[in-house]
Amino acid sequence: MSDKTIGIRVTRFRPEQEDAPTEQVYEVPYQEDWVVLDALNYIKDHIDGTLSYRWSCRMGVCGSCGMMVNGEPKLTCAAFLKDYYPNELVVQPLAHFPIIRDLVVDIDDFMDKLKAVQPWIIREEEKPVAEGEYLQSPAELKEFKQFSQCINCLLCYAACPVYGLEDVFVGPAALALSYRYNLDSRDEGYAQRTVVAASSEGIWECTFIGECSVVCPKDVDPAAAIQRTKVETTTNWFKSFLMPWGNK
Amino acid sequence: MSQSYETYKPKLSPTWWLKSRNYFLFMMRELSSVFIAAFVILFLYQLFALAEGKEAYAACRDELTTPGFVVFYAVAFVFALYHTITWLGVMGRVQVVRMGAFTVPPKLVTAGAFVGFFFVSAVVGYIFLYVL
Repeated sequence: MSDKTIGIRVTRFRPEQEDAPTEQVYEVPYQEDWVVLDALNYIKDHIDGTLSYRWSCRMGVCGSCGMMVNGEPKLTCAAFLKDYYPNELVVQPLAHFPIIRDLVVDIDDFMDKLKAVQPWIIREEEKPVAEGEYLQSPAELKEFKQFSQCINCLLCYAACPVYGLEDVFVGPAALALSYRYNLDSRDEGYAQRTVVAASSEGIWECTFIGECSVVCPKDVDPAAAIQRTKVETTTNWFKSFLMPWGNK
Repeated sequence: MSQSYETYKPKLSPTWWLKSRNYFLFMMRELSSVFIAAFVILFLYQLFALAEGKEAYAACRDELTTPGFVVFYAVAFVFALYHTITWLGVMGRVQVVRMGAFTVPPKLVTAGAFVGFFFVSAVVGYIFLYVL
């Protein structure tokens, strides 16, 4: 292991002993191939076992290790120390979410919103299993594939000042997933999702800052999904207004 | 969902938009609408003056060509241009254009929006400079 070290300034919040978060600096060995999560694991294993944070897959798939690294929402398994060395690194919990302990945030609000947009295939009438799968062509899959890459890491919520100011906002990931299922050729749940997505707490809260798409580690582009939903719902509203006899 | 544990909810600072270049540029885009709204009000004022007759319109023009208003118009023009460029720049991401089974690439949609903007601007400019 190299002799070089790097300082990691970590947010600590232990509700049983303090009312507000504090900071603690740990000096950890610097390895060029280490990511921020490796440094946190080193702290946990060798310096301070009381530090709490979430992680799982270490390969940018599970979406659990999202934190603020030097003020930017990042997956800590994909943020390399070499990009910050030799400067001290600041690691904080994801912005805009209530902090439960240290770097662990409460994501119940997001889970409720995710459930509200019903991110699953809705059918007006389910066909019997014996009749087989709902088939889809590659072209139909291509329509929504980009928006199905979301790993619910919540970096987009941490980057969204609208959510930070008004946490009633349904938010980028949930709205992108709503759009994803609306685009799915097998789905028939547009009307049910639109009740939530096009509500005053849905797409119309978004002011298109666009930072959600900038920080997305999977290039989902939730900002585009939200703006396209705005165009789509507006067009449908005009159609229903001008041609009330037509089907939406 | 009910929670049975204490949490700490951080508050967003009023200066959040100064903490990142992208947030700052977003706020400038929002601010541009104030200048555009002011420009529209002044434009309506000119139309009312025009309806009042030649003398009223001449007085209005004299008023609006004082240095203060010239500076305002210059700043409003920069903001209007910035708003237009950022608005047209995201066109390809926002508007999906389909031609049968073919989906027009987003970059082409954006390029088309800019071409349309320059064409319309040129036509309007020509009419104002050479026709009216």
